[in-house]
Amino acid sequence: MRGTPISLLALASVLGGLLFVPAAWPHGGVVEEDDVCIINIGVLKAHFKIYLPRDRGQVQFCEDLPLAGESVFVMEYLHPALNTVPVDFRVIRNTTGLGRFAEFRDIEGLGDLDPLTVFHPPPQRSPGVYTTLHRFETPGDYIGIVRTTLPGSDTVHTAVFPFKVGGHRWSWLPLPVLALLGLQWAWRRLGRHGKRRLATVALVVSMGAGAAPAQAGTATGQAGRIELEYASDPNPPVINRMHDWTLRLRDRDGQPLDECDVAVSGGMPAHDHGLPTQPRVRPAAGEDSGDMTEGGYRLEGLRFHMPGAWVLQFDIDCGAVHDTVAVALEL
Amino acid sequence: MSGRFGKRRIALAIAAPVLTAILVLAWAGYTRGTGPWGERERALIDALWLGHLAALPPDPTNAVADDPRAAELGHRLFFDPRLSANGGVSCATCHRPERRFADTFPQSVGIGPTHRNTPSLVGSAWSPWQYWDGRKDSQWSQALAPLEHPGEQGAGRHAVADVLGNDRWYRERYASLFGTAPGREPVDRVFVNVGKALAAYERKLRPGPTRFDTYAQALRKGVAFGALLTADELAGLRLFIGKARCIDCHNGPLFTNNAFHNTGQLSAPGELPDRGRFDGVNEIRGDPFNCMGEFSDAGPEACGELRFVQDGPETLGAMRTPSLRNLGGTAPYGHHGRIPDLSAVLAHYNEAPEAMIGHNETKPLGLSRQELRQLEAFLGSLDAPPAIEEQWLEDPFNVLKTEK
Repeated sequence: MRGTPISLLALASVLGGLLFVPAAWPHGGVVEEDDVCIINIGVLKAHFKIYLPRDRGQVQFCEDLPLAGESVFVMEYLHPALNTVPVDFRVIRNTTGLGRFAEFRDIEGLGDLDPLTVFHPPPQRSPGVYTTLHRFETPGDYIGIVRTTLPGSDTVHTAVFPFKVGGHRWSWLPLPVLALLGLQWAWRRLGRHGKRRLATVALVVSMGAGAAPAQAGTATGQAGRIELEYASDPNPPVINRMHDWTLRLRDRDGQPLDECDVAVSGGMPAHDHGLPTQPRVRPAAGEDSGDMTEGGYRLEGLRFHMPGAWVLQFDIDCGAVHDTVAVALEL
Repeated sequence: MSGRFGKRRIALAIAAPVLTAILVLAWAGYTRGTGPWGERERALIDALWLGHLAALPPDPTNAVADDPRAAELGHRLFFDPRLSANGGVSCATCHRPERRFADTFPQSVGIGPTHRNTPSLVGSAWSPWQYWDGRKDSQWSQALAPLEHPGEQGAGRHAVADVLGNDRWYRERYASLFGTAPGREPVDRVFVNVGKALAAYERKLRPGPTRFDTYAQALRKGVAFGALLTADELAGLRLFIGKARCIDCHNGPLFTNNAFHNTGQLSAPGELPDRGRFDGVNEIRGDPFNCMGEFSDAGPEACGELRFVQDGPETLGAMRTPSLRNLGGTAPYGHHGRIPDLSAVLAHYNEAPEAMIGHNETKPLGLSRQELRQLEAFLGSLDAPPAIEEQWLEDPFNVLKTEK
């Protein structure tokens, strides 16, 4: 029963691996690093991938596309400077005669690019990720050109990457060998995944159910300089309901710490996601909240949207004293 | 005579052990696949029971939210096609009462095409966010957008105000509810009040008890028998709260955490990958009709969700977890309606492909075909019509015609 999906998954992994094969030879501005395709726009980096959603669903391509059709280009910025600047993307027909070895200087030699241009959307300023869509009408050799300029500089950062659309007549040759290697790799990889999944299931099994357990306690910073006393309000917290925490900060000698800046981050490590809200901490000294009057703070806008293991990290800056306190919760 | 008797005895001698074997095997199968629940599992199932759905949460941003006169006004507005550019599209065109207040198109179709699948309105009063990308933070503010959206009703707020001003029934109801005739108020105020009346109606759309709830209720009392749910449904429930990890996001009595997650869905043909919550956060912050805006009837203290909204990179490609209580007859599924049926939805989660943009939070599940079928069977036990008096499901204009 279980054999079928596993072998299908393995096959899918192998096929996925194969489709990345042409990218194993770095050329131009796009290279493969650790199974991820990277575009180097000058010194600025972004994850790069192309999809053929209509024809190939969720299969990613690094550069070369197996067929002409509706293509979605995705650049996920790795350099934050790219979030704020317009990025110019253009596809031209590759008439350099150099095929996949065409480089930046070969583009310069082409002179006016407009007659060769097949696709040139207006420059896009898009925080986080650049996406654009082009439908290739004919197979052939193309060159992608990405350009941008950072504020306060005249330097034009450029990536040039030649790629093929359709027509891999010879590329099936190494397939059998690669298929075997890929299959072996997929089996091993699946084994690891399976183990991890079991571990997570075990975690879920061990977690408390129904009402979340009470959340109050004391935690000491990594540097041992600051002690954080915390209590959820209401306690225990209700899953998926906005609520506050009362906090109290003390130094090593037990003296209350007022006027500290506290930044909160966190999430669920097992799910690779952060907090669903952006909670903030404000001083609450003098407010009527039990004994939390001195060194007292209020953490507002907290919400846990699922049961499981959560981590909250408090970066505390009290001028003379800094520390980072982590609080692990099991909801 | 004796020969016949002997034959019968032989038959019995063969049948008895065979029958026993079948019973033993069936019992073994029963206890292994769907047998009694542990304490933790009972608690997880109980947490999904509709009986735990809190009383209707107040909406302090809408002063008429719980005014029956507003619900009556909203009911008629909801079905009124005059509130559209072509006079043929009402809220009920896409939010069809007989389809759990959703529809059967991949993407909503109003006076033109749109980009997203119609979400059900049942239970939406319990959600702090409206729309797939949560670009609205109240039901009344959500109700305004389709009235002006060029693909939905496209009427514009002036046309909406005119419809109210020129209809005697509306004029009288509006004046008695809001204290001023619609013609004497600024157009934005009339527009907002239309949204608030619509919301007062939509707040009544409470999910109804399903077969699952009957089972969960019986389980609380300790009298749950397998017969309330089939063996496949029970096995699916076990997967739902366990191995398949559905309950991570589809939790609570509405089967949703109302949070935003990237689940790696494919982009629609001819469209760029949907940025989802990433854009939704920007929209809600700039929306004059949000909780902090001048048209809200509450102070900023009621706007915790908006004030502490998460806008980090994880919102890229994230969409709101839909409730699983209104799946019946509302296929196709997903924010683009690109997933034809429930088995395809489950296959997608089982595979958990890498997201086109952002990061798919789900992980491959490795479920067998049988397990996927059981999950699908369980989802079938979550469907029921909304718990609301029949009169609210009917088109008041049809009722008017029949009465004449």
